[in-house]
Amino acid sequence: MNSTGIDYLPIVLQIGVIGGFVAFVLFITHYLGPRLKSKKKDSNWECGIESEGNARFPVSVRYFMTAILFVLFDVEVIFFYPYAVNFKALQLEGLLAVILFVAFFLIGFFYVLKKGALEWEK
Amino acid sequence: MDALIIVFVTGLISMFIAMAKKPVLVLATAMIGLSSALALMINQWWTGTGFIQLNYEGLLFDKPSILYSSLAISFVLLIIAGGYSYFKQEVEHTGEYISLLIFSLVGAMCMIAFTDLFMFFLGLEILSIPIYVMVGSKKRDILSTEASLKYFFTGSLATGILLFGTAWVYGATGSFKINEISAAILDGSAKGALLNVGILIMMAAFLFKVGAAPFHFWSPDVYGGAPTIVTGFMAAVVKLAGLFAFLKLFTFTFWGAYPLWSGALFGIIILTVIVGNLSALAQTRFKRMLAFSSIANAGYALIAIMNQSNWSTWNLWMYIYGYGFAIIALIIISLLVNDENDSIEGFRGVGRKNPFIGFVLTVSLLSLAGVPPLAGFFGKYMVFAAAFKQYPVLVITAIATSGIGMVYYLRFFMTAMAKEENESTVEKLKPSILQTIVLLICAIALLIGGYIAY
Repeated sequence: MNSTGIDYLPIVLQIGVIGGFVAFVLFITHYLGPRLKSKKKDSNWECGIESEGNARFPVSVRYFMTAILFVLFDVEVIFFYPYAVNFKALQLEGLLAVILFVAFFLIGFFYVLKKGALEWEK
Repeated sequence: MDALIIVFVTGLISMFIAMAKKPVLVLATAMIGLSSALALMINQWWTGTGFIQLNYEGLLFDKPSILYSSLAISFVLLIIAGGYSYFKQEVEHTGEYISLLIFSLVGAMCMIAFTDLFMFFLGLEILSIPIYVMVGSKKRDILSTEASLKYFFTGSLATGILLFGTAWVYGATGSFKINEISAAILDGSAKGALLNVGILIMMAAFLFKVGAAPFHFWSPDVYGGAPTIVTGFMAAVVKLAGLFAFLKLFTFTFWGAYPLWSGALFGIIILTVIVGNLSALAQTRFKRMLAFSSIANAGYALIAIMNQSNWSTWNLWMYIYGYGFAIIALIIISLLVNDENDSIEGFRGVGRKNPFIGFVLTVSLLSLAGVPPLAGFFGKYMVFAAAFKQYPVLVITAIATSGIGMVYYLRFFMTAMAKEENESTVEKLKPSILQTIVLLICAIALLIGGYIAY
């Protein structure tokens, strides 16, 4: 518990490095790189194609739902890899744990189906 | 442990049973499940073991944990019963509302019973994430959405900071288990600077979660924007879990580093009670006033954490007991009044319209203000009396500011009891049977609080 001021030097250094890096980057970007300005480049949707219509209209969230659910179940699959490697070592206890884990996901999947989150035409 | 599993399964079942589009079924499931969990907790208190023998090294339901868990379950029971009239308005989502609150309770119980920092962090997240969703559950209300977003961003930042602090503490002590950390700090094998920074960072994150003064800026907006019943949940259950985890982690685990964090906490408590009470004076909206009052109350509760004795667990419990029941009663009355602007003026004449509600309102406000025969007084008295010898300045500041607190509680009381100007438009306030029962339970709990204290 008895720490002297010198012990905190690494922490102060770390804070200094963080602050210094931010300040340095903010400063240097103004000097590096050419500054070109044109009407097209300053438009808020510059991708080489003429923008058409208004961007402010409601977008369907169905794709978002599907994507986020994909991520969820993808993570589940990733958890199987370490289990597959240790399949023999974990014995019955490991199997039960994994069955419980998959059961929770199945309950979630059942809920998603029931709520109609995957129905595209709705 | 068995109670925890029952609570979790109750949440799952009430989520699925809502598919039948019958809100009564959801309510019944939640009530039965939570009551049986409460019964299991009481059983474990008397027999010392759970109904089923289940052990996990990360969780330990010892006597203090059972005491706090039972209180948390009771709060959630009352909140769900009292808020049912609000939950059933949208039949589509009744199941989600109720089961999210129950899942949040699971997190609270993990946070209460943890024995290692990993389980604690998991509990904190299980507690917080359903609350982020519930705060934004009024989807068409712009204030609710704003509150949810603000709470999510600031809350996840605080979580990140907490993890950072945990990593420092782990680096210094080499363990996640709280008894090993405690031993490492006491025998001096933990490295000084690493540990000190870790503890202070963790403390900052904790103070954010309980809403103490320099970290309180999120709470008025979030409390004000959230649906009324969720505000009650945050004030009662989230504070309970946060404060008990704070007590367990700091007063008992980081005790070896007491000189370090007690100095910081001392200043923060003084700032919290002053800022909370003075800001509450200026509020015209009910839920914002409640938010600042809850900041001030968090400050008083933190005093229990400042002094380690075998009684500090019990003192804090008594304090939260008085505070929680009063807040739940006030929140349900506010749900009944249902003023559009949520202004304090909207409560004008409530006591005359329905004398029963007037009575409950009086009891809970006087309890919050700390008037003798009620539970709030005993909580405050026990916390202050325990700390007075060691920190006279702190306790005197707290008593002085709770005098300021009395001003806005009593002003609110006067408004609620005043005569309404245009008598002709008076419509009777009609609480449902469930809400009447909940209000009655809260009032009784506040009235007999003093007997429990002895």
